[in-house]
Amino acid sequence: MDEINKEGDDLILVNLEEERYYDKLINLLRNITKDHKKVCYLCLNRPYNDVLIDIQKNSLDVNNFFFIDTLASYYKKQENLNNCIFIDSPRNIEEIKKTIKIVVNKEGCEGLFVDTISSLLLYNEGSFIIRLVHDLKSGIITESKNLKRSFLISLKRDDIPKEDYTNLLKDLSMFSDEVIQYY
Amino acid sequence: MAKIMVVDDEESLRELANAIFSNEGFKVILASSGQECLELLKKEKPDLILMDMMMPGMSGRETAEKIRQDPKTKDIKIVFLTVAKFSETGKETLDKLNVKDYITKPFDNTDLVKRVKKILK
Repeated sequence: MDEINKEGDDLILVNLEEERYYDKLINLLRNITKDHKKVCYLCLNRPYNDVLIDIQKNSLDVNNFFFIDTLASYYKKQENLNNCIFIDSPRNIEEIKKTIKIVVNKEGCEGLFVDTISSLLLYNEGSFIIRLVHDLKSGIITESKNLKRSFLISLKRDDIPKEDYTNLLKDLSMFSDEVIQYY
Repeated sequence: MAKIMVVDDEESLRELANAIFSNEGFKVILASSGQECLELLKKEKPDLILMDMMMPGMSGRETAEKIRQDPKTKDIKIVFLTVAKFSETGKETLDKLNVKDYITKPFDNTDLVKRVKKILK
């Protein structure tokens, strides 16, 4: 996992499989927080509450994270917390982009952890996801003072068509400084 | 007269590219998506395809893969248009797809024409 914090890499794509997915996520976070003081955690696969429980259970310091939850308010409107902003829907890519920019700058985040970018395929066409990453790479990452690296986690899920997933990975790889297969 | 196909979902960019290349004496074919590009290639054979990387439906990368798989179109020169710079991994993919160059948007009109002409030489 040394390559996860490699100097000079802005955008890192980590491919996972479902087997021991949550253990691997925690392991990644443990490594990332060694080198990044504050991490903006974008919840696209599980809501904030579930992620928080997992983080606490594994003795990671919750103060190292600021969360953006795109899922909880999709079902029931949530009030923002002092360490989490709730977005109405994972379909709202523009709002996700805007919120990442605000959080990264306001909280001085050194890392952005996108859990899990491929889950957006459940709500959006692949090109919208590529556009989000494109904008991250050409705007948010380069403009931010503190942000050192962004980590895009992708997960092979049975409920996402294989062809869509493969195309997304290929397109994301075009802009990723490092592609890690973490199986 | 060289024939160039411009593939981009943004109408304003297609119009701009059309004006630039028509003015330079190129015959210009326009397509608004990867799918339309592939359809047009059944009856047209451009010397060069200038294609946006990021389009709804089929991406530029996916369209280029399909162009390379077809014996009738596999040798057509391709240049990508992109907003974000490609990574080293991306550049390897460009090599595999035999993509001749890539141009970042927004582009300088003179530079665009110069680079396209150089590739067509």
